[in-house]
Amino acid sequence: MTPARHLLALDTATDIASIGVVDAARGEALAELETSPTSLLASIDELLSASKLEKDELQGVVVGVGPGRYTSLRIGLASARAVARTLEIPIAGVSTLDALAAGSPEAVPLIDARRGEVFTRVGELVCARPEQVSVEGRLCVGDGAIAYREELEARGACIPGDADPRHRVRPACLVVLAESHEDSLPIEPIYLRVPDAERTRKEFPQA
Amino acid sequence: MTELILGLETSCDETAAAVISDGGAILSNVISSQAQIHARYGGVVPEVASRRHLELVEPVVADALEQAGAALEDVSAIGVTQGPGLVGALLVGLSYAKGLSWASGVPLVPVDHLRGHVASLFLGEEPLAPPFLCLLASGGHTLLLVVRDYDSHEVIGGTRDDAAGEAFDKGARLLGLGYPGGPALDRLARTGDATAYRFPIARMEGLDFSFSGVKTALLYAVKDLGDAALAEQRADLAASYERAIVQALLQRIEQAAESMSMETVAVVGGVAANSALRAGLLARGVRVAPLALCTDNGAMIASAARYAPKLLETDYLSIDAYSSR
Ligand SMILES: [Zn+2]
Repeated sequence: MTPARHLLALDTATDIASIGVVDAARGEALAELETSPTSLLASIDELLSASKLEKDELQGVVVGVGPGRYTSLRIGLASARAVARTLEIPIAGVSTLDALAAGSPEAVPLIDARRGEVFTRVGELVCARPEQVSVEGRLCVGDGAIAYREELEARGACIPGDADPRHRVRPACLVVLAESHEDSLPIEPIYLRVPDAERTRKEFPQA
Repeated sequence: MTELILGLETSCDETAAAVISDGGAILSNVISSQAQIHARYGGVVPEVASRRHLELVEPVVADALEQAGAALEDVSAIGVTQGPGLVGALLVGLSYAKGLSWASGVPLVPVDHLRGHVASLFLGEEPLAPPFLCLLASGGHTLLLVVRDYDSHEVIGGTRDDAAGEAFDKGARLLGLGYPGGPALDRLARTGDATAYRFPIARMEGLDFSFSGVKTALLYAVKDLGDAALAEQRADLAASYERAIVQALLQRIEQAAESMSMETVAVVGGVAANSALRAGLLARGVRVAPLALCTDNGAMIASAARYAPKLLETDYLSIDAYSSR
């Protein structure tokens, strides 16, 4: 039997952060919980106690890099980097959309991008209006599916109930993806949008 | 064995980290300013600042430790700015500091940014000891403080409208000097006649400041001149405008020192880098923080952390950033 390899997995791209301690050898979580991005480290501390592990038994960190809520993503990435660096363990980045999709293959993963838009994958990662995504007869998951439920269902999408776990990133999925990718993503948020100030910027004299 | 304190600051547009000793010696003070980035927008853009902080926080902390010849396990406390400031920016530094603290077991010390500015005076070869009167003047704040202890202060005056640094920046903008305007206005003013224009100095009751009047006066002066005349008068306008603000600050400091019977007076914050103010202050025997410690930096946060309670594991995990008090 392969020895257990314990990784800390976290994703803070949405309002409900998913965290877990996952045995990478089996792709199974020893303990997992959902929390708010602002209580991330307090929850990680709880999680470690629940999994009966010490910090120095962690062998890596896997973090969801979005796309998603910018401030929450930065909380997750800053925390994950600091933990990995201090414990001197590797860190890997995984797309939150891919992790959502890994939890329910066949489904269209949608993350609420606010302002009437969703982050999703249409070939490539995009920020699009819900009507631009083809959903007819397809299962849609993620907080974007919940946010635009009415109009997506009107267009023939099949969306599980709001409390269904398929709408949230499973820590084990983050780890399975990180393990399967040859090269992981940089530990930088996937923003997909330029800051508003950049879009409306006029040439400004510089001092 | 001296103990070391790491300080981390990300409240606005500087990503900064420093290591000091428990005796107040600065072992490293790394500041990565984003001013050039924000210059393109004519002011600090919160989302742009937050993105940049996340890119910089790890290398800046690593640099600060390396330059101090220290590792995290040599550090006895991690001070981090909790507020006031841009919440998205603060959260980057706070999350990083919490992660460091949780993983290493080194206690965390949440620091108030304003307390940090005051604590810049407790650093270096000749640290100042309370009690003293302190003017904190920056782009975001103009406050008169009575500092009686290392870990507390009392606010006795503030601004009714713009901060002093903001007044300099807005004046620079009116004169077409771009952003950040304070230093540009300072440079231009040195070549002008400060008595060419008489700009009003607001006389507020008590110890408060107001800079909207002088700004409006400059606006009208600029409007009255045509483009050609403005080009000719620009240096005189800058010098006269600067003088009005500097005089307002100096008069209030003297008045406050007298009414509070404070013998020692000090000035901290980015505006203390203004050369006219600096000269006026030094002539009056006022203590001014060294230039490198005037603008936002990690050493001042570490210095404040030296006098603040350390939060042990799990106590600090729930602290949150605040935009204002
Ligand atoms: Zn400041």
